[in-house]
Amino acid sequence: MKLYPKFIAWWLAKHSVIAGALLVFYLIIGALTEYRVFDLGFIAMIFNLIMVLLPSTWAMTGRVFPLSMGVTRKQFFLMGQLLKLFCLIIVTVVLLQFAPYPPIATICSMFAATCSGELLGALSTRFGKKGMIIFTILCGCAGGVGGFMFSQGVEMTVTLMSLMTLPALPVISVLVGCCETAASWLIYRKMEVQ
Amino acid sequence: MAKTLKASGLVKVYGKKEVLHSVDVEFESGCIYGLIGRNGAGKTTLLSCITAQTWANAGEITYGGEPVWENEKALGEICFAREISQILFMGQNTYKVRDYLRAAKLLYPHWDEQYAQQLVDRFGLERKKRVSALSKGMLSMLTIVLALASNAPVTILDEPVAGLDVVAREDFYKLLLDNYAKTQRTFIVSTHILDEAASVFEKVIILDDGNVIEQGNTDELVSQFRYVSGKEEQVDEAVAGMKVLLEEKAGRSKAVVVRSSEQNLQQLEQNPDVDISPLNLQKVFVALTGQKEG
Repeated sequence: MKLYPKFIAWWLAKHSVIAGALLVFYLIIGALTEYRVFDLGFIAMIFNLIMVLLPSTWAMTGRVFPLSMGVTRKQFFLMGQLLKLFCLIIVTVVLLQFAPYPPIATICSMFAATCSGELLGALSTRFGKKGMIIFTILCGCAGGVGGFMFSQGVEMTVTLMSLMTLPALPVISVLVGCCETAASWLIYRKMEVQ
Repeated sequence: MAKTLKASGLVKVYGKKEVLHSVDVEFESGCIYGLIGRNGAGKTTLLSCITAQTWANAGEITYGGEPVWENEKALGEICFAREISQILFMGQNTYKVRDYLRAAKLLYPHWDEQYAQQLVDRFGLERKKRVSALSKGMLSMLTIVLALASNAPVTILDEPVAGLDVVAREDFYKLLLDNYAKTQRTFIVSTHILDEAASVFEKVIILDDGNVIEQGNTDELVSQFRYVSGKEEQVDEAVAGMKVLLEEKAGRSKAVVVRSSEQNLQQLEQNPDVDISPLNLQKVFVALTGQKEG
């Protein structure tokens, strides 16, 4: 089965500009607000955001060219999985620069995040304007909850970060990610080109 | 081996509205087809279904005897250059012309890059311009570049001339015929602008309100119709027993469009009391689909 790696690379290169700009923006904000003290945790949070954004953009706008140019839904879905895997590898490599080894929980949570992004993108595509509105509200809520927790001070943030060390968290993250991927496929398999 | 693109019993429902009603249609290899129908007749829906860009509620679509849906091999041989909408805020509109062509180059297996660049220069398309910033005519040209350079054995163009002026339309049909002469691939052109198209389409499919009402050779179809005019009584007498499709009255004069067998039409042409003239494809199309307003 042909998976058009050149197309994925081209698409990623085009959208990485936006992802890179977002990363720089958060790093500046982090530096200004002293969140940098949480180093790996904060950087992981930034990458989580990017890991949500890229697959959701792939599902929402990336589908237009492949599906209208003769790529099957199965191929497109597998291309999405390649993209997720590629992003996960890149992020892991970057995280290795900040710690001797990346905590497995962080990597697993990023896998769940990237699957959430894919599902949200698929939902937005399937339900159109309503999906976009729900997506925006969910993003707003997530941002609000995150902001609220950080506003509660260092202790709360440290508590949140310590959740990452729970032994069951990687397993739960992987399970959630797999369920989200399966749900995305259910939408992808009958996706239409407008 | 020549492959046929075939749909049988095709039904498509959007919400509660059935847009295609058990459509049977066949596109043979190496032929230029015209898919004509009024706005909202279901042309784009039919083309979307046969190219697996939209799923059908019922029916079967095959290419060379194999189902088209999720068939990598079959879809690689079909190019559906759909009409690009200026109002879509996501998808292809956010890209530049060169990105659009780049994506086509990476995805279409038979893509001819040199020909694509030639066409871009010929049409004067600006490579750095965003698709959303293109005029309607330029969008049509981009669709044409995509279709012709795809080199797909089955190439489908959805309303390619909708935004083009008469000079550009003639240029497009010339390009289409040149390409067809070289490649002998199947072209399916959906349109409702028939001025220049009639002489290009070898076969025509007329879609009306989700039903295929005519399907066959263009010349054979057009030859079955005549425009008969004269005094009312004489016209009525001349066309008695024939199928009258359109009727126009002005005072004591009357004009009708009739459809009949070759034998009946030959007899009709010998009638000295009425004026008889042949119809072009556009008039035939109006006669067949414009009756609701008539």
